[in-house]
Amino acid sequence: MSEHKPAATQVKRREFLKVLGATTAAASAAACVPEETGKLIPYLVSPDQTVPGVSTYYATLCRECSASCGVIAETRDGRAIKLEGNPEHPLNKGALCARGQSALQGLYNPDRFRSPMIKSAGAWKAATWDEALTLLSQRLGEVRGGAAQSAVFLNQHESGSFPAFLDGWLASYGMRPHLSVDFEADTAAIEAHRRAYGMSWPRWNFADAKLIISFGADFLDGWGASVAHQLDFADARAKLASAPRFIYVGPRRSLTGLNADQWIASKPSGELAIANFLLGRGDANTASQTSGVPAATLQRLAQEFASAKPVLALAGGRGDNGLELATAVASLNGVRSAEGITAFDGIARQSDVLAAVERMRSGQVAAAFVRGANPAYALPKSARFAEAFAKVPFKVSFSMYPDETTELCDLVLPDLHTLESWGDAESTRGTVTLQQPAMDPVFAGTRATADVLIAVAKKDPATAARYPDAEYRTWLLRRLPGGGNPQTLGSELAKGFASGSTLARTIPAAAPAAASPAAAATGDLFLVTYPSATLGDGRGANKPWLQELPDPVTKVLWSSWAEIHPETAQRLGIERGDIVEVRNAFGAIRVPALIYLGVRPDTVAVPMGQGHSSPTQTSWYDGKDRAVQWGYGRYARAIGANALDLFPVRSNSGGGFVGSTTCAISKTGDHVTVVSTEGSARQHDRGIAQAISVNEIGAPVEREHEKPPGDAPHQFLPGLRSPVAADAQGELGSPTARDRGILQGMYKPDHASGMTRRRWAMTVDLARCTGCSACVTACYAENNIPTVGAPWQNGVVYAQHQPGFNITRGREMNWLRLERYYEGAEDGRFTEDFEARFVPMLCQHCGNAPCEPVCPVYATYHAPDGLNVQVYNRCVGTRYCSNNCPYKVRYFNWFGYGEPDRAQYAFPEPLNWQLNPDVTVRTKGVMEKCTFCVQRIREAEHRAASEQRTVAADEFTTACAAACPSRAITFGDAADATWSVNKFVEDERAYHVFEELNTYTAVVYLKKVNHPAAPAAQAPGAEARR
Amino acid sequence: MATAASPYPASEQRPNVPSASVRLPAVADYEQVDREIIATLRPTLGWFALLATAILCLLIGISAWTYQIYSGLGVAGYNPPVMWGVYIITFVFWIGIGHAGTLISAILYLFRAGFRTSIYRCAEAMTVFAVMTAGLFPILHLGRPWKFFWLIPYPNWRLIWPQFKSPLVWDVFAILTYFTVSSTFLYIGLIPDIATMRDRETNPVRKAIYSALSLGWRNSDREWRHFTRAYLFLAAFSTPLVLSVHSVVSFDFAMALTPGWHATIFPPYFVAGAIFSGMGMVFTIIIPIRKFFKLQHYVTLNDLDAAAKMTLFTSLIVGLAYLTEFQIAWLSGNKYEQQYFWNRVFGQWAWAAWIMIICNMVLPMSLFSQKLRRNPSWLWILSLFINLGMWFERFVIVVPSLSHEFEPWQWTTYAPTWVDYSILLGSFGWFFMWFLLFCKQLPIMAISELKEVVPPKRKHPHPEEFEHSRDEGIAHPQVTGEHELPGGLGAAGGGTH
Amino acid sequence: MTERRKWTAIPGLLALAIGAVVLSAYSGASSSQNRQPVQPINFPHPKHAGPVAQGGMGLNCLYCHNTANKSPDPGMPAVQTCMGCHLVVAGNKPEIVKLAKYYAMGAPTAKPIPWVRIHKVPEYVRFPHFRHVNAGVTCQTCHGQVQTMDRVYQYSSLNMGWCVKCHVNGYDPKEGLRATGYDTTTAMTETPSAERKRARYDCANCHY
Repeated sequence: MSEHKPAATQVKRREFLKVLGATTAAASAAACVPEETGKLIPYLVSPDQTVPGVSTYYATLCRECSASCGVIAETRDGRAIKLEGNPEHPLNKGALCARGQSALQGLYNPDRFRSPMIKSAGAWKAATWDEALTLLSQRLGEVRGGAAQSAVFLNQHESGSFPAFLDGWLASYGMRPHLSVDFEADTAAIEAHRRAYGMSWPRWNFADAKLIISFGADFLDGWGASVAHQLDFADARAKLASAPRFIYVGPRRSLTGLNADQWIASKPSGELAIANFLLGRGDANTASQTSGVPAATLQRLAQEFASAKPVLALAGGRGDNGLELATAVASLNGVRSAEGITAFDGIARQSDVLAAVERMRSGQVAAAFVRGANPAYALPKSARFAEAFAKVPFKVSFSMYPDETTELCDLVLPDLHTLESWGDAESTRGTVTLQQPAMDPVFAGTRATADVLIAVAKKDPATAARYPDAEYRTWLLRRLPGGGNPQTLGSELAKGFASGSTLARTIPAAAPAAASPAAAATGDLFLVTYPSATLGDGRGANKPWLQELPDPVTKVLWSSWAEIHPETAQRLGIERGDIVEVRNAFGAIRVPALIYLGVRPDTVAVPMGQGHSSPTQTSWYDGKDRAVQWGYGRYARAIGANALDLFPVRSNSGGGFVGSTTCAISKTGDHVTVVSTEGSARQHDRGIAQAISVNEIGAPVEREHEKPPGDAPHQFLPGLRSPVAADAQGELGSPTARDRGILQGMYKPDHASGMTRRRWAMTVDLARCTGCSACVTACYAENNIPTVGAPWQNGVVYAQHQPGFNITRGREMNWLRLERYYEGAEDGRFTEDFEARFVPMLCQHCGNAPCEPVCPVYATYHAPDGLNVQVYNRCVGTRYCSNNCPYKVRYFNWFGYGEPDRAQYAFPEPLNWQLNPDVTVRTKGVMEKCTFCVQRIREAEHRAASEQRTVAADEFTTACAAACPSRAITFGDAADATWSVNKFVEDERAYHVFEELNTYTAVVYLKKVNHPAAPAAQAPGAEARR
Repeated sequence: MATAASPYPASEQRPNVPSASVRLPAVADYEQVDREIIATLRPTLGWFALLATAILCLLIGISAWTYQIYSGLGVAGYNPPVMWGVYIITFVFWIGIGHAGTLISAILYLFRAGFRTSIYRCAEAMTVFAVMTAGLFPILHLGRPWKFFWLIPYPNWRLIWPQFKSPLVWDVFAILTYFTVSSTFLYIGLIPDIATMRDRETNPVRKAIYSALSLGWRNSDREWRHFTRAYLFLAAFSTPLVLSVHSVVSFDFAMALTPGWHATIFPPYFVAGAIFSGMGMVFTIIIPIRKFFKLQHYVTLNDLDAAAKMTLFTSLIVGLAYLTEFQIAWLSGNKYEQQYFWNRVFGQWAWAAWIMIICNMVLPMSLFSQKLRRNPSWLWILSLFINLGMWFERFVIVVPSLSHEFEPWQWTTYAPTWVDYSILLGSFGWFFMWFLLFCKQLPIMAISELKEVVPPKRKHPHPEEFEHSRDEGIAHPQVTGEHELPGGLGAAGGGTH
Repeated sequence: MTERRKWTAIPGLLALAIGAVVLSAYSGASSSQNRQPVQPINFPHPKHAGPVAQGGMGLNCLYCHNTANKSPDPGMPAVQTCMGCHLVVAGNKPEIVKLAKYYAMGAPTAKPIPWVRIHKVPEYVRFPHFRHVNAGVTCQTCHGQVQTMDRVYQYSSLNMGWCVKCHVNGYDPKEGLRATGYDTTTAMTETPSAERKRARYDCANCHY
C-alpha cells in the first residue's frame, strides 16, 4: 500500500473480533462449556511489511475541520484502530482534538453508504458504479455549453491540490470554479486577517503577549485551528509568573471565556464599541451604552490595555459588524505573528453560498454537486435551501453518509474517507501535509471522488485527453514537491509532510460583500448561537463519541439546550430542564433550559450541532443495518433542535454568518432531566480543583481553606516516589512490614520480575488544562469504552427511548472525565466575576486504595508496579469497590454493551473494527476503570524485552497524555528520576485530591494559576476566592 | 366484658412481669394442649388463599430476576455512584428480622423469661426463613450472579482464594453459620413435638415422615435429659451469634470510608436495630396467628405486654443511636460527614430520614402506655410501621451516603424501578411461603414447653360437664385479662367453670 | 479419638471433598484438552516437521509459523507459502489437489484455508508468543510433539492454573528440551529452583 513508519514497529496482539470473543468467552465460561475456538484464517498471499498482530503506522492528515492537522493512524492487520497527532507536524505537534479522534467513527460509521444510490421516482435504490457513472456522464452531456456555466459545485473546504484538480475538471466541462464551503469558518475574521496581516489566519503568537484580549474569538472551541491555538496558549500560560493575563469580551462565556482571567460581558455585537473605545475612538460612556458594560469596567480595561504591552487582541467575526470589529481589533493587536496557517485560504463566504442558493431558486442552475458539505442543515432555515435546491434538475452528492442535503439529491456517489484515500493539504505555509490511505476501503462500494471525476471524464472523448492518469494518486504524486520521485516520497510519506507548496491558485482577495440589511427584530432578548465545541456546525452529530462527549462548558450531551442566566430564569420562572420555546420572526424551537452563569441576563445562547432531521425509524439497531439511515444517521436522530432555524439569511460585511439576533422565550410546561454528567457544580471547598494566584507562586502557600487542617504538604511523596512494595501497602502502612515479611513474591523489592522497581504515576497541570476534553475521547478510542447514550441503549424497563437517558441515570462510562467547578457567583445574581476550574478526574491508582481490600474476589488489587488493577474476568460485580472509592472513578457494565445481540450493543458493525485488540471488551456485569493504559505499558515492556533492554524514560505515554493539546498530562515512572513526570511531582503547586484520606494517589495535580487584575483594577473578592 | 366471677386469685389477673411463673389459666390439661395446637395444623381455605398469594408474589419476583439476569443490572434503578440499592437494603432488613427469633428462643431461654414459651417457636421459624430470604440477596445483586461461588473459599484450579479482608466474605461465613445454627436449634426444639404428632398421626405417609424426623423419640427420661442439655447448649451457642452476625453485616458499611458509613457505632446500632425489627415482625406474625388459630389463651396479653416492653427498649436504643450519629458528625469537624448528614436529614433525603425517625423512634413511644401494650390491634398496626421504618432505616443508610459522597461532581439521586419492587415483593412471597407451609406441617407453638406452664389439673369438671366446657373452652375460652379484644372470644364468655 | 468418633467424622469430610470437586469442576476447570478436530486439509506435520530419521523433513516450526518469535501471534502460513513448494512437489496427491483448489493460482476464486483452531486462550487473556519463544520455551512444552502428530490435538489444558504453575515455579530449560522429543540425552536431573526461568504472575500481566 505504501511505506510505513520505520521507527514504529511495535508489538501487540492480533484479535480481530475480540469484541465478540470477549463476551462469548465470559458467557461460555459461565455456562461451563469449553471455549468456542472458531477458525484460523491465514492470508492468501502474505502482504509485505506487515506482521500479523503488530501495528503499522501511517502518517496522514485529519479533515474533521479545515485546519487539517497531521495524524498518525495506527493500523492492525489492515484496520485503522487509533489516531494520534503527528509529533513532527508543525501545526499540531502530536496533539489531536476530540473531533480528530472521532474521525475513526466517521470511517467506520455504520450508516455509511455501501454503494452508489440512484433516486428514481422519488425512491432510492442501490446501484452499481457502472450505472451511476453512466447516468452521471449522460446528464453531464446534457448540461454542456451555456447551461454548464450555471452549475454549482459545493465542496467541503480543503486546502491542497484537490480544489485545483476539481476546478480543472469543472473547467473542462465549462463550469465555473467550485465553492469551497466551511460553515464553521469565521469568514469575516478571515477577510479582516487578510487585509490586516496579509494572511487568512495568523498563527497567534500567545507566548510574546503580556495581555490577551479576545473579542468573542473562541480560539479554544473551534475558532480556526484550535489545536494549534491551544498548544501555544497553554505554553504561554505555563510561563506562570510571566504568563499573559487573559480577558474575554463577549455576551457568553465560552470554553475560551472560562479560561480567561476576566470576563467582560458585552452585548452581542457590542464588542466593536469597546474596541473602538480602546482605540481612542469615542468615550467610555457611549461605549458603555452600546456594549452594556459599565463605564468603570471599560476604564479599568483601558488602563490595563495601556499599561500591559504587548497586547494580543483577537476578534471573532460572528457579530453583524464582524468585519469592522475584526479590522478594528487587528489594529489593536500589538503582537505580530510571522507564521500563517494557510489551511483557511479560499473558504467561500456565506454570502457567496447564499448567492448560489438564490441562483438555484431562480431556476438558472442546471446541475448541482455537493461533496462533504451539508447546506440543507447548516444554512439558516430562512434561506429555504431545500426549496431552491429542488429547482435544480440534476443534483449529485458525493457524501459518505446520508445527510439532509444528500437526501435531496438524485444521485449519490459515496466518497472514500480521508483515511482510505490519497490527498494533500497545506495547513501551514511551505509544508504539504500528505494524506495517504491507512487501509483499504471499509466498503468496497465506495470510491474516491477524484477518481470518480477522472472516470467520468474518461467516458467522454472531449475530456478524456486531459486525464492521462488512471487515478488521482498518480496525478497527485507528480504534483508533489520533488515530483513524487520514490526516494524522497518514501521518507516524506513516512514523515507525513513535505516542504514546498502545491497551491496552484493564489486566493484572490474576495470582493467586499454588502452586508445584508438587519432583519426585523422580534423579542426582548438577544439570541446568540455558536458552533458546538464537540459537534462543530453539526457534522460531528453522527459520531457516538462526540455525542457522548459532554460539552466542555455546560457538560450537556446527547441533547441541545438554551443557556439562560439565573436572573432571567428566575424572572421568567424557568428552571433547569424546563422545556422552553425560543421564538422569533424566523421560527421557533423547543429545547430544555440550562441555567448558566456565563451568559448575559439579556441574552439566550443556543448551540449549533443538533436537531438533524429525523425520518421515521426503521428497525435500525438490529445489526442488519443495510437499509440507508436517512436524516444524519442513527446517532443524530431525534436529538434536540437546530438553532439555525431561528436565524435570518443575513451576512455581515465580511460575508460571514451572523450568529446573533433577538428572540423571546416562554415556558411550555414540559420538563425533562437535562442529559448531563454534572452532579454539583460547586466543590464545597473540598480542594478538588485548587488554584493559587500568580502573586503567590514561590511564596509559602496558605492552604487552610483548601483542605482540612493538619495536613502537611507533600505527605504523599514517600508513597509516590518509593517502589510500591514500600508504599502504604507495606512499610508506610506499617513500619514493621518488612520484619513481618508481608512483602511476598513479586512485592519483594529483590524479586526476579523486578516489577516493584516501577511506580507508574501521572501529573496533571491545571495551569495548562483548558478543559477541551480531547483526553476523554482519546480514552474512549484507546480503551474500547462503550457509548451508552443512544436512545436504544436504555433498559427496556423504562420504556424510555430518549437520547441520553442512560446518562441521566449516571451510567456513562467515561474512565476519564472532566469536572468543571465554579467559584464565586453563589447567589445567582449576575456577575462577570466568577471562575471555572477544570479537573480531569480518573482512577488515581492509590498506593493505599480503598477499593482493593473490599473486593471479595481479588478482582481489584494492587500490582507490584503501582497500578491499581481491575481484572474483568475475575469480577463478579458486587460494586463494593465503587462504593468505597472516594473519587468515584469506577464504572459498571449495566448492560451487555459488548454483546452484539443486545439493543445496548455499542459497536454495531463496522464500528467494532475500531476496537483496540489489546484491550478486552468488558462483558455485562463487571466493573471497569482507568488502567493507566496498561496495554501500552505491557507493549513497551515487550518491545524492550525483545530488544534486551529496559523501558527507557518517557518511551511511551497514555492515550490521554498523547492527545492532550495543552500538554497538561504527563505520565511516567515516579520511582525512576529520569522520567519527566518526577520534575512535576516536585513542583510547589503539586497536590493530591483528598490527600487527607491517606490514599497515596499516583495522580498528582498542579494547581491552576489565576492572574487577578492588577491591585488598582482589582475586582472585589477576586483574591479571596481561591 | 370480663366476667365478674373469676375462679382465679387476683395475683393471676394482674399483668405479669416476664418470669418463669407464667400461667395459662384457660388451658385445662396437657391433652387440651395437644388437641388445640395440633388442631391448628388442619389446612383451611384461608390458608390456601394466603399460600397462593405468597407463591404468586414469589413468581413475580422470580420472573423479575430472570429478566434482570438476561438484560443486566441496568434494569434495576441503580444510579451510579449509588451502586447499592433495594437489594442490599432488603438483605440487611431480612437479616435483622431474623435476630429477634434467636433472641427470644435462645437468650430469653437462658434468662428463663417465661413469656417466650408461647411465641418462641414462631419466632424461631421466622428466623430460619428470614435468613433463607436474606441469603438470596447478596447473590441476587451481583453483576454476574452465576459466579457467586467465587466468594466461597474452595480449592480451585485457578489457585486463587477470596480476599479475606473483604467484609463481603465475612458475610458469607456469618450467614451460613447463622443459618446452620438457627435451623439446627429449631429442629432440636421440634423433636418432642414431632414425636407427639407422630403418635397422633393416622396417615401412614405422614406418620413415616414424622417418625423419621422425630429420630425415634420415646419421651424416655434419658432422652429428656439429653434433650434439655442439647437445647441449653445450642441456646448458649446461638446467643453470641445474635451479636456477631449483625455486627458483621454492619461491617459491610462501617469498614468503608464512605461518609455516613464509616462509623464505629454501627455494630451495636445494627444489633439493636435488628432485634427491634425482629420484634416488629414477631408481632406482625403472632397476632394474626393468635387470632385466627384462636390461641389467645396461649399467647396471653401478658406475653404480648412483655414482648412490647422489649420492643420499646430496643426502640429507645435505636433512637439513641440515631442521635449519636448526628452528634458524632457534628463534633467530628469532618465537613464530608457534616454536609452528608445535613443532606440526609434536611436535604435531598429528608423524607426518608423522617419516615425512619417517626416509625422507629416516635411511634414506639406509645408503648410506654400499658393500655396500648395490651392492645393487640394497636401492637399489630405499630408492628407494620416498625417494619416499614426499619426498611427505611437501611434505605437511609445505603442510598443517601452513596448519593452524596466525597466527590460533588458525582452527587446524584436514586429511584428504584419495577424490577427492584418485584424482587422485594418476591422476597416477601418467599418468606411467607415457607412460613405458611411450616405452620401447617409443624406445631407453631412448642407443645412440650407449653405443657410445662399448664396449671395443675383441678378435680372438677366432671366428665360430661368437662365435655361441654371443653367445647366452649375451645370456642370461647375464658381468658384472664382478655377483655378488649374486638368481637373478642371472651365476649360470649360462658363462665362455666 | 475413638474408633466411633472417626467414623462420624468421615461423612462430613467426604461431603466437603465432593462439594469442592463439584464446584471446582463447575468453575471452568473443564477444558477442551485433547480436542482433535478434523482439518479441511489433512496436513501431515510429521512429514514436514518430523525428524529426518523418521522420514520427515525436519523443518523448523518457525519456517511456517514465522511470526512466533516476533509477534504475539504465531502466524499461519499464507496459502502461497504452501504452494511455494507444492507447485512442484507432490502436486497429484489428493490433499495437495485440495490445496491447489483453494489457491486457484491466485485467481479471484481463490480463498484461504479455513483451518480449525485448536489452541486458544480466552479473549481476556494476553498471550504474547514471542515473549515465550524468545525466552527459550520450546514449542512442544505447550503444544506437545506436533512433529509426530498425524492430526494435531490440544496438548495442554490451557487452564489458568496450568499457566500460573510455570510462571511461579519457573520454566526448566532441560525439561523443555526433553519435551521436544528430539533430545533424549539430557540427564534427568532436577534443575535447582534458582536456574529455572521465572516470569511474572501478576494478574495484570495477562489480564487487561
